[in-house]
Amino acid sequence: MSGPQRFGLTWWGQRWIEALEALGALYANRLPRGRTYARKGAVEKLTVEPGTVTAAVQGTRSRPYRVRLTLPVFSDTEWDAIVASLSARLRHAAELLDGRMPEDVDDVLAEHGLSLFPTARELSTRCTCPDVANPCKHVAAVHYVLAQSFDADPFLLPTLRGRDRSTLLAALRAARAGSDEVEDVEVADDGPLPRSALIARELFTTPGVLTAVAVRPHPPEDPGAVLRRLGPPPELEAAESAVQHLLRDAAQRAWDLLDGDADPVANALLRLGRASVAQLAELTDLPPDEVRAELRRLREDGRVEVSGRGRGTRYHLLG
Amino acid sequence: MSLPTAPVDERLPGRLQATFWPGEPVPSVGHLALWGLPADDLESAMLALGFAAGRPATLRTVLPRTARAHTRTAPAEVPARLVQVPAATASLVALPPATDWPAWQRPADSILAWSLAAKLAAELVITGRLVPTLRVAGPMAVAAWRAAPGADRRVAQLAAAMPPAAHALMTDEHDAIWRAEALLTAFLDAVADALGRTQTRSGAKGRRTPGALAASWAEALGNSVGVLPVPPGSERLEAGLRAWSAPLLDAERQTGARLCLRLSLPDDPATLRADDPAALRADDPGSTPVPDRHTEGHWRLDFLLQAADDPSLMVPAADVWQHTGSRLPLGEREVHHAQESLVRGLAEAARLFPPLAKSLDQATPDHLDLDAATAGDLLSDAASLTAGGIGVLLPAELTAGGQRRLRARLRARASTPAAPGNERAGGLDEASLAGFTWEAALGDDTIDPEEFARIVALKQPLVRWRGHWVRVDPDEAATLAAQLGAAHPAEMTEVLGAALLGEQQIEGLGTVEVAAEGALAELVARLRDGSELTARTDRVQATLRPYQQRGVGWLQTLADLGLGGILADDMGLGKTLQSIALLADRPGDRPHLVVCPVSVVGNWERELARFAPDLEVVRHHGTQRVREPEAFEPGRVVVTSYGVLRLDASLLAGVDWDVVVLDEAQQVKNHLTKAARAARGLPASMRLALTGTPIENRLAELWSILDLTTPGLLGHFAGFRRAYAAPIERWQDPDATRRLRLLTGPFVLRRTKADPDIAPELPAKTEMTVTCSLTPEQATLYQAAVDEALSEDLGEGIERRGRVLALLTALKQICNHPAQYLGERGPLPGRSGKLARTVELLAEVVEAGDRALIFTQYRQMGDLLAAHLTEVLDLPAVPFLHGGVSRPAREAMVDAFQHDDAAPPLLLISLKAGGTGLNLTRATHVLHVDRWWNPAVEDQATDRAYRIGQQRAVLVHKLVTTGTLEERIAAMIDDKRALAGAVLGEGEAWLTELDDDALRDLVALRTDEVADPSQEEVA
Repeated sequence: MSGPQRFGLTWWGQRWIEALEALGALYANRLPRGRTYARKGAVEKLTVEPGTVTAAVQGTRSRPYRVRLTLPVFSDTEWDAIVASLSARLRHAAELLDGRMPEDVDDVLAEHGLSLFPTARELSTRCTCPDVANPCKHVAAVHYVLAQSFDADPFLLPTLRGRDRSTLLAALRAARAGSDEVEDVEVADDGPLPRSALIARELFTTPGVLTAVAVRPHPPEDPGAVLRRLGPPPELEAAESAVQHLLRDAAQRAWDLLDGDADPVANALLRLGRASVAQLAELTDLPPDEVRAELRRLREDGRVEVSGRGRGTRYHLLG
Repeated sequence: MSLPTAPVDERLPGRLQATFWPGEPVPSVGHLALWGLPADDLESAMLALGFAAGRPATLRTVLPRTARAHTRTAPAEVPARLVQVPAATASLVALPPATDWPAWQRPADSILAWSLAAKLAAELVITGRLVPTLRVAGPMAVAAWRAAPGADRRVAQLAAAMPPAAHALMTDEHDAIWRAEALLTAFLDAVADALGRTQTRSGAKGRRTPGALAASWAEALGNSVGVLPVPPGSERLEAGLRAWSAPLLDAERQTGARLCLRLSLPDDPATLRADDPAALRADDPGSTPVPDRHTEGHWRLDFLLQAADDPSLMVPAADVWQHTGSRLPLGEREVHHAQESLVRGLAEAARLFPPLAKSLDQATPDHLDLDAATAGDLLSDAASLTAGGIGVLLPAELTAGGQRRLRARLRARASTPAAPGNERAGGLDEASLAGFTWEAALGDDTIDPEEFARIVALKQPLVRWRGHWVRVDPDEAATLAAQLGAAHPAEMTEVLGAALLGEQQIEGLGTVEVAAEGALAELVARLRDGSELTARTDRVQATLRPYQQRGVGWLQTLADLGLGGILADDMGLGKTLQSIALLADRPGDRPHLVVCPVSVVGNWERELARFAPDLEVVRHHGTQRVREPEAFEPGRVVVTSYGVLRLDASLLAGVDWDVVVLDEAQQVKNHLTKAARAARGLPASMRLALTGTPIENRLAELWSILDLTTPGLLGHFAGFRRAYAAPIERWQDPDATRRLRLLTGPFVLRRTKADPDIAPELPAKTEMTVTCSLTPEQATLYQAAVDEALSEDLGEGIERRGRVLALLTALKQICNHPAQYLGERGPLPGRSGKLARTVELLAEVVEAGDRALIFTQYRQMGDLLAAHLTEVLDLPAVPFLHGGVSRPAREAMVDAFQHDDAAPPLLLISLKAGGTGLNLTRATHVLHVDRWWNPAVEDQATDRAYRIGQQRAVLVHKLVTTGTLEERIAAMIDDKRALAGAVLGEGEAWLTELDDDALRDLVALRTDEVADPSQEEVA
């Protein structure tokens, strides 16, 4: 079911494409070719840095063409003004933290006469190919791939304009606190545990207190609330209600499992795989007649299948 | 690296271990690897713990370099069985917690650790802490669930408590293993993924969602396969979903803090203003309720940042906004990214409680003003916010358990007409008028129906009433309106239970407050207050220790009130004596019944005769027993066995009993048995159960026994299981434990020898004679041996001495067990009263977590006992220390008994081999299975346990078979006149000096002491 690959699905990616298409109206035939290039993976080594985007595009020649886009970064004063405006609304910070670009971000920038998206005059492009058209199909290809990158990481836009994600968020935080002091958090990185750290006589005993970890489950109440807090999943909004259903079913199943006695025969079957009535009676402590009655019910529900006959009769769970 | 490495089988730990082996690309296809034993032994060890057999595999893990290595390890490829995550999860969650296993049965720490992990993962799923993901893996995309424990510190706690074996899965590249936290995270993901895939093949179809991609993603999340074709823009989708779920997967863990919303009442002193119209009305008593119209904006919702693992630690939002830098001090810890947590928290909370969106338009919001209607909405949405992981603090009086809430209350009553001359005046009996009445309450006040109707008619969630804001839950009010004033008759004990607990669970309303009044309130107060327990003990011929006095006082109080109970004192604290003291003081207008195992019928008769000689005892046991109820005259004590109770159920149910004592009540722990049903059918003013097992740990048993003594108190078993047994036994729920104690406390008295109140009152050593009976097989053998020996002349001198000793030996062996006398190996059960009693006693010792030494003179009896006890008590092989055991082996046995928790708590010792030189002070019980007719020898043996270093009281049990020479010799030894030291000095020789008549008298069988096994299953 994989259809044609699309670029710029999020609104900010879309905006980028629109900007490009406005630029490329003059050489309209370059754009579809550029899209084809982008789709077949001709664009490599895409890097986004403040003020510049560089990439290598595999064209008709064996050596790839080098493409370079430049646009001006905002000055520190401009950024300070932008951050002050953004921080005036918690909604913007919340969306940025969630990895989304606030839809009205450019409105905020417009208050200062700025835009994250380039105007024709700002953007200059260079390509090592002989085509005189600007944009050439290589440049166009880089634009499409860039739009895709913006879809995945909207913070590339401010990065291109001079503020990467952590700098921007730190500045937002500082602006709310009325100070520009910024502190970074180091992330601990630990790989596997070398065998040399192990001591033979301590391999099999707990180094801590296992009983100190308390698990005290209660029956499920509103298992969907945690995810509802995040809103619908991006681009998969239509799945939200199905996901909520699954969460409720999963919570009920987990509770039945912990509760143990709620569905003893099904639980015993889950543990044993294929089992006879006698084995189930032994594991559940139920009289064989009750086990049989329960198995009948499970079969009517389509949850259990039977195989063999007589003394060789075995039951197993479906699904 | 050329050091030699021993073969794998020699280095295996010898106990089943578990290691998680993650699977790719769908997490739930991972396996639990079970190993630690040679390949052939794995399956049975797994089955014993309830694991499916799994499939054989080789696990790359770490073992000691050699069997004796202390430090050095080596990589090892060990035989393992792999069980798939869904099945393994079911088995792991079914394992009881570490504290519930006797040390010798407890699974290895690595298994207990994964069991905890599985329970934790299931709990995460129950609370919805799992997120759906999408990931491209090769030619397919994988839809899977991941656990999102967030800031839950238990993950780190559990990782820190994992033994290396649990995570010693070798990684591919290095000479290294997985880190505990990484493997634990992978396991939590795997269980969440397994539990998230709930759709059976047929289930998914009905829930097709619009949008082909969304639908196939949702379906792949629910089915057991988990894959879908790679969607277009998959990288962006992946990244988008990752960013979407980041707050749950990463941010919460990194910050360790969350948003907390705190609602304040408008008329709280903190927010009250003098010009507040609400304040002006506040002291106007009897004012009619008014809906809020004038106090707009005065409900204040404050924003705070709260430590995720300690809700008491909070910082106001204003301080967070002011804080510069990324680490905010909170209590003794630091919160990372405090502002981001608050920003995210508010944006997320706004999705669950939309009025918060207003605050998102501000730069640094620290509170939101709500009108009463919106405050009411918050009260209804609080549960969702809490379930979503957002802290909510409501004014306590408005919450479910609070006072400023229009709520349902049950008024409980139990009025007893004071009958003049009734001995039990002030008490309650089944004829009492008991029941509940529904009423509406606000604060402590009862609301009359007219006022209730007025308040409800306002249809407001928050209403001002008599100067206070009160909450009205519309659903609850509607339910209550239908019930208001209705009266429900109920069993006396049910009403009493509800009054003791102060609450009752009601379908549709949850926990409803119960208020007791009148006689019932007095009764509750009297049952709770144990300070006035004075015992009446004039009619018992014994000096009671102080704790026994208290016990008798408790029994008499219950009896005076017409209520039953359980006396569950440790073995040896004198349950029988305390019960006899109760019986001795009763008015004697009706007969009493003692039901006990057949092995102690004789014991009860003797103790009754000794401590309460005025009570007339009727034995209702054996084939000659009376069948007419007239024989059970008022004031008499009828002693019978559980077997006879079953056979004569209708006869005994036709008698109006005063006190019914159920001894060794664990015999009726299964409420479905005939004996339990018969016991329930006995009409009595008080049923008293005696048991020495720690019933507080076996709640099904507690329920069954209390259902006999105090029927109705704990309700139906299914409800009891849900409310108490499951939360307490599986999860050590402190609240359920507290409630159960509140409910059962007045009816269960259990003291242990180790109690600080009791220990000083106990003598360091207590000796007791434990009587048992012969089975018919034993009696026949005994009679035949006596007849044969005495039919001919015993001769003179050495010949006579030899014959007498042979006879005595034969009779002692028969008393021990026919199998010993006949030189058989079995079967053993049902053939010896002494074996049955020994097993009963030792079962109690083992259950109580105590340790015992068991002495016998006979090697063969020791061997029989060792095998039998191992089997019936489900212990590791019980060791037998006898003359044939090498010195190092003896030392190992003694050492294990003294120091190893996993060793069996029993040690059999041959009297000759182990009488001296051993130090076994860990034992608090000593059993002499057969008697050495020389007290000095027995005392020496007893001293193995009772000697310097012993901190606790020692109980010495001497088993004596009634009706046989054992009983008569015991009497002679106890009789000081027979104890001329010179005679007893040399073993048993003095017995051979008796003349024929004395000998005949000594060995003769008194047949009335024979137990009929058809009336009792002898163990």
